[in-house]
Amino acid sequence: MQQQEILDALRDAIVAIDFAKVRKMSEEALTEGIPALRAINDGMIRGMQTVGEKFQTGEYFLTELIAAGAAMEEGLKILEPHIKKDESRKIGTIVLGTVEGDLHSIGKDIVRMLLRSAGFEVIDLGVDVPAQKFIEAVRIRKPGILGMSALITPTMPEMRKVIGELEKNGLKLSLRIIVGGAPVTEEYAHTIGADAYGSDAMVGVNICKEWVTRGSR
Amino acid sequence: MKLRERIMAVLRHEEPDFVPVTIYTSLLPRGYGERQLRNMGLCLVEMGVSVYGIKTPKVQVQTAQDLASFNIDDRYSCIAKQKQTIERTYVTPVGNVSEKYKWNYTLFEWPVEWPIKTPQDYEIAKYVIDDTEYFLDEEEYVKTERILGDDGIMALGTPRSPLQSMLLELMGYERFSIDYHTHTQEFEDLYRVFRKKQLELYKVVADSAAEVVLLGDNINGIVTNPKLYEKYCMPFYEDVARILHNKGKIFGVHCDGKLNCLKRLIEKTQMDVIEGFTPPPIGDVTIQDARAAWKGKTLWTNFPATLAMETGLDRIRHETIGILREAAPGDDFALGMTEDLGDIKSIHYEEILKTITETIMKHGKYPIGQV
Repeated sequence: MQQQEILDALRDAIVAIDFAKVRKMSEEALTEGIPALRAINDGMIRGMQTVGEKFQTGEYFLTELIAAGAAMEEGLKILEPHIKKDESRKIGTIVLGTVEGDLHSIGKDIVRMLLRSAGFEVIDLGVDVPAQKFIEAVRIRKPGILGMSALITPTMPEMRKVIGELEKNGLKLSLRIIVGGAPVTEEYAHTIGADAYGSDAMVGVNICKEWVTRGSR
Repeated sequence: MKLRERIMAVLRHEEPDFVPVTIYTSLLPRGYGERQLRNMGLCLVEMGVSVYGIKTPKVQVQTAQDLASFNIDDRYSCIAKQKQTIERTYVTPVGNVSEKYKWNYTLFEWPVEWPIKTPQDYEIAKYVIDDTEYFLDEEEYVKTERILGDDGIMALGTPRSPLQSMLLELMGYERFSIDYHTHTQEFEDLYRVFRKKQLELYKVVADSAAEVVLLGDNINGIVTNPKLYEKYCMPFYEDVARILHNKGKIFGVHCDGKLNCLKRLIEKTQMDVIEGFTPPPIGDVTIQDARAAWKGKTLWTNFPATLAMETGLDRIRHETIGILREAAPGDDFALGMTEDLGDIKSIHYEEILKTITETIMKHGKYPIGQV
């Protein structure tokens, strides 16, 4: 197989959510001397872009988006160890979590998977995350972006609390904050001092991508 | 009309005197404020009592609770309780599966680890489901209904439909999405077993004293997309509706998410009541659009909690009037509080409930005219 054929097959395997083929084509890419980073960018990420387009047009739904992301994770397990030291597919770092008192994980997990596919390093703090844990993660990991999710109304004020603590600790200036979750609105996001509101996972990820493209604040 | 008569009139497609305004009993604080609210016209909906019991003769269920962080001084503290993890292991002759739960904000159990973690777990989950037996056990229900009297109604909350249970209780959304594409056979087999078992439950329910049955499906079209909804949920609802309608029961489904992409499909279902329907900004279908799309079904609308967030009572009054305007003339329509509107023990919470109830009782006379 020609190198381009392998890359196209890798792309198609992602779009078809064919885990076995993703693994096989990732191995074959390495065997044929395709640099790992190229296989990721010109194979799998192209596939994820097509999946994203199909999602936007309504041909694919969230289940397909998640499964395609998981298929890409399989390929990454094979390819990532072969990325050269001076190369990196990381486009940015984001700390992510569902706020304290809230155990919902679906929305956050979808965002995590899409961000990973897009090339972000994601530090997922999980669910029911106390404000202090967000602060520590931001202080230690120095991400460019913090993402918070709340799925029930009574936990929404926790987002305000975290932002207040970040300000108090002088950590907000170098950070962009995005919030989301079913009861959250754009108006609320602005009221509490967040920089953006992700009305859905794709919108949220696109905002994060735009931020890293534009550079740090 | 008495509170019970008012909501039952709407559920039976009859004319109420006012648009009913209801609240789950679990969301209403006890005491003087509660009495005031009931006297003002807020109708109770009791969903916490069942009409059936469950046995699993061949499956042993072991429960372990993590009490490590549980200080004796915190024993009445909800926050302390929220930090506890409950681990449940299902011991069966074909192997074991385990799940972990935490208490969520309203002290309902919420899964943080699901029983199906590997493809091998499907067989065990199937065994557990297949072993489940439902039997009529309605003494408590009948007693509670008598005590409730005319202050509200009993609504029997039934478990999520098989697909929604698989998604939210058995495997979580990530595994659900992956297995749906990669382990189709196991997925379908489990669904078939689950569906058969749940229909047995509805046969028990149909023979019970419950008049109103609300299936707690938490439908959200973003998560349960139209393809899944049409293939799995709709045929199941059809079977449930047939079983319940044969015995004169009212059948509702809790649909509290974004429903725009399911609008046309919901119209085709046999459900009588769309309960927990949540308009924007949380949902994505307006009351007006919902009423136009789902004619003949009762729209039991939830007051979107976001509208009550960090806001004054004037805004809440304004939003309530807005809901009434959209619902006019108000046939087949009820307003309910089905999610938390903030800290249940705060004075503001009671004030919110009073404002909503007062506004409905002032402007919600049926048929609603100019508001």
